[in-house]
Amino acid sequence: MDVVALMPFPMVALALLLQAPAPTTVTIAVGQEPTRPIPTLLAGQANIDVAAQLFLPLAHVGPKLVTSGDKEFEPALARRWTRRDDRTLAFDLDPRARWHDGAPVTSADVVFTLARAKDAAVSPTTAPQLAEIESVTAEGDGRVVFRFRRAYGEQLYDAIHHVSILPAHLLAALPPADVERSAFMRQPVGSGPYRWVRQVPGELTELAAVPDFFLGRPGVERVIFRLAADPEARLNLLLSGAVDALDNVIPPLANLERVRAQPGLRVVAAPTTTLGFMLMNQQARGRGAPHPVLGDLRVRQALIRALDRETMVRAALGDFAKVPYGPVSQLLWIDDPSERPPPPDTALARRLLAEAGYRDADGDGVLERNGQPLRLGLMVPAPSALRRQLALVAQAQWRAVGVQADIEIAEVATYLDRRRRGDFDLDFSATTQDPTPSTLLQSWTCAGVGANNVASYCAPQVDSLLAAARFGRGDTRRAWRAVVRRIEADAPAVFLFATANASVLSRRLGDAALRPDSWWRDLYRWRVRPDGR
Amino acid sequence: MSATPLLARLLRRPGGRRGLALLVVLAVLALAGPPLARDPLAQGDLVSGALRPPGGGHLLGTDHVSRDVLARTLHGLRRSLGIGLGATGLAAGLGLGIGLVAGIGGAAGRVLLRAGDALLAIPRLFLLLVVLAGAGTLSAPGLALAIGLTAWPSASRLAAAEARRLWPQDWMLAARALGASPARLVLVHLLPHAAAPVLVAAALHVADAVVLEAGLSFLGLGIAPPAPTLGGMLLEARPTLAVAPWPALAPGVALVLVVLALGALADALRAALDPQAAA
Amino acid sequence: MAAWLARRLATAALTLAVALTALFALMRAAPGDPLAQLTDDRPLPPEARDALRRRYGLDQPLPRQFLAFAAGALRGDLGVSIQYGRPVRDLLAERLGATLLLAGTALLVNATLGIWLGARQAFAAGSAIDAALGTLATASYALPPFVLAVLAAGLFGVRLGWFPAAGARDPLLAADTGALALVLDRLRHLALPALVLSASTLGGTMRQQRAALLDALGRPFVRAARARGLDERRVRWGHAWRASLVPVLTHFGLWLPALVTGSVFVEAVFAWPGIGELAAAATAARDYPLVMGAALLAGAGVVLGSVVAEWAARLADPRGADAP
Repeated sequence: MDVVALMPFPMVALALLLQAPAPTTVTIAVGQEPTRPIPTLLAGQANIDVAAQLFLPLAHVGPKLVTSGDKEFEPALARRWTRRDDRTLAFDLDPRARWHDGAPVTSADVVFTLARAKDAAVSPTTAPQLAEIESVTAEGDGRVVFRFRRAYGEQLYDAIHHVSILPAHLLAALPPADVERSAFMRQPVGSGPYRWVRQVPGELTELAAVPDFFLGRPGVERVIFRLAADPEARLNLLLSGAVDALDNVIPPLANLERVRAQPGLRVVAAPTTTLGFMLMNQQARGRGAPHPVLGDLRVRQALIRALDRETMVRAALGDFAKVPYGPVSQLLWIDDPSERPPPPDTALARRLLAEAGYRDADGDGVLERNGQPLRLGLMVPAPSALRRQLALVAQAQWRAVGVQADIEIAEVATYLDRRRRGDFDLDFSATTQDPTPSTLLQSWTCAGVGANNVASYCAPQVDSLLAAARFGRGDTRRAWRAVVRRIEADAPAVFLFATANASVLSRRLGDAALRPDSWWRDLYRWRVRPDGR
Repeated sequence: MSATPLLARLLRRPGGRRGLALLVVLAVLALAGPPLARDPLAQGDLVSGALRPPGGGHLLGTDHVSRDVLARTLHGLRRSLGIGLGATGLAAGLGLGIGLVAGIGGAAGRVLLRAGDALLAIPRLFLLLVVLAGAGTLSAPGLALAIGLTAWPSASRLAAAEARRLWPQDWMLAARALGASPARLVLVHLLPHAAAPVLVAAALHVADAVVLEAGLSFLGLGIAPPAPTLGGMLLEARPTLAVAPWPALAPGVALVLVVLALGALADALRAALDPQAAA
Repeated sequence: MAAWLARRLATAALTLAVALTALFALMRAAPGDPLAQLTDDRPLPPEARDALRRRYGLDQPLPRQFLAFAAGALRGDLGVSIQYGRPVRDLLAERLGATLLLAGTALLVNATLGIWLGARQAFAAGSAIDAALGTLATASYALPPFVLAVLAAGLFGVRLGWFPAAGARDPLLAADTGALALVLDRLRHLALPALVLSASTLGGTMRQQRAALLDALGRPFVRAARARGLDERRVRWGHAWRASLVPVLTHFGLWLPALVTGSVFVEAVFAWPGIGELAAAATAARDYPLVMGAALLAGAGVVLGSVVAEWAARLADPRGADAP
């Protein structure tokens, strides 16, 4: 029997009246639930992805991801910017920009947001990134002026990239500590192409298009971020047609076979800022003294040359990754593909270890020095199947030159704790870099020791080269390359993979493109076949 | 308990014969297999040699880093059985001791029995998650210890119940009246009876421990690689299961056989130890 | 019986309190920092770190933190989750329904199908059917749920497309979808997770039922009933099966923790929005308030479940009613 027939007459009439055509919808599978999709609040990737649809920054980094200078950027809330002097930038806001409640976006919103973002007690992760911004002032409703502490190449990047703009008229009256438990948190109001509709805990987050969005009417009327923590579950949702898009389907490489077997799906590759490397601790576990084994440059070089990195990476990631030269991801604009990492050379590795004083005196296949076997722990975080797989291969290849590596799978909280305390020999890290080469500052300078530079790599020469590149005038690419070459020569880590993101999109989404730095950000520009699934 | 040796009584039952035979086969594979098999850690060509189907030089195929699945299964069987037996031995021993002392009215035993109840109140997985998080890298004995130390409460309950039932019975009172020392009473008269239900449960606990190890691997708290365990192999095979099932097939079958053998054995033990059935 | 129940409930509450105290101590002894994952492991300026620690009460001495948890729990306030920035009670309440639906279905399947199959095995002990059912149940019991789930989702979810491969509902259902359609959608999504959780637990119940019934069938009173010329059906179900209920009910009481454990895996691999997966993730994130809240809920469920099972066993077996 028809369900409608069971309803009393007024309800039937209502149901028929409400029978609007279903909105065109894109469903994206994600692994984490957005918990605080509000700029300035603590944020993981899930929050950033959703916040990118709700909130706009003043401008976006351009498609080439060049972060230096003032030219390679795209307007967003600001329709243009002018440089007044080498320490001052003025932004003109787009007069069409509106908050989702209809109020215009004004300079007061920008001043308010930057003040919150620069307060470390409110915005602990963004505040350090805004340290070079001295002041932000309004000139009328439509213009804001940023003043910097000194002249450097990435002023515009720093002004626009780290924080999107919040509505002052809704938040100014709220003490910062209360934002987390406010009505705004449950129903955020932004200025982006999509507005917040609802969140079903543990299941999905739903957004709806803002029809009169000032940069163009979104082609997709509804976006649903569907949560599935297990990668296999995400892939199954995609293969069964329950979602339209999924990022990072490899590893394992075998997933590509399953995707390609489905004519309705296509694989889209985009380079990423993700970099994987095995940090070699310069200090003994727990810090305080040089590392008895890894303190020796020859041992570090031997560990690198003993590995066939090209083959390892190809076996695990196919064409979607390459071996990086220095700590430079595929996306960093200072990357220079013509400079190749040195090839594997086990003979050289053996020679370097012999020069460092290691011999296999007892014939057990593991080298010793002063009776101490050459034995190192390789710490790997439990959730990463990719790093676990690569660690297994590295372990086998090191054993071939007489180095015993013990894989230490660490549950994720323990892993982060040990990392922070420097309690490891080798740490298999993977990091998503910011698009700026200044990202090197945190992990590869003496200033970073005690913070993100967990392996205590400290070379004063790198520090001075880096300062020169960062605060240099004109084209700083050569200066940045000098930094990278110096780090590569010091061998502070086995730089192993720089990945591209293999995303899968339903063919219904046409030729939709992904942004390399924020995959779903340009979703409002997609044009979708309405026939749905 | 009757004087007929337990083994003979087990062999008299078809289930017992089947379970024992299967267990013997598995034990032989676990003990004699590894020395005969290839190196379970050796890796072939990473690109062309990974996830090869059975055949060629590898009877059961190769895994995701091109290691021999047969060799790893044999080694894994040995290690997983070791973990299961070690954990169960520890749990059964602790449980029996605590249960008996509690059952005859020992204050310390009763306190521990209550502590065991508390241990049962928290789902074991969470307990292990928290305990193992701090332990760092685990060896097989370490994992057996952790599983054993969280598994004794159910054994102690069984033992305590049995001891409580038997302690006031006539023949026990008679033995006491004849001046037997409490230690002798417990060891000679109580233990063999109280051990029966614990033994039956233990056969299944071995299987549970082997399965639990697999679950812990899934959560990243298993044994450090490259040492193979059945659970660890299943975990590593999972992401490619849909395209290349063979790395999971052998450890999966081995796991099922272990549980089947121990299940049959437990059933036969229960029947063999039942005084009414023996009568 | 009322006095027994009161005494038993009091012990249960005490047991739970001891368990939670131990868990609190163990958890805080484990390494890890709840703030590390909140910030994607970006370095925090010291003043920011201090402010966050104050906000979540992590700056207090441990005994005081524990007292705060205990006092709050008695009032029904479980604190604020660090990961989510929301009250733990709300988070648990939002997901309790999904967990009860999944675990409840598995419990129901065990209590009906499991008992029936186990009994059939016992009545046909030694036959081919007995062996086949036993082998099948053992195999699904032995394979970890994370493997079973991949097989089930790959076959029934992706290849055959009979059931949704993951999730708990279709997010595209229109807002005005009728109640019947909503229930059907729920049931379709429940199918695979419930199948896997049931399959991976059914073996235990069947074994217990089979053994208990075999034991009962060998007892003198069953032989006596047969000798009296009673209908075989009545002998089997009316006498023998009734007598086998006590150990089976006891089994259910002891088995609840295993159900909780199984739920964790099944919820994770099917993206089922329940408490098990939430709690496992909270443990990994060191979200202390959320872990304690979930443990309180799960522990209370387990302890209460075992009391109910004992109570039911006493009802089923009047002889035990006056035992200590």
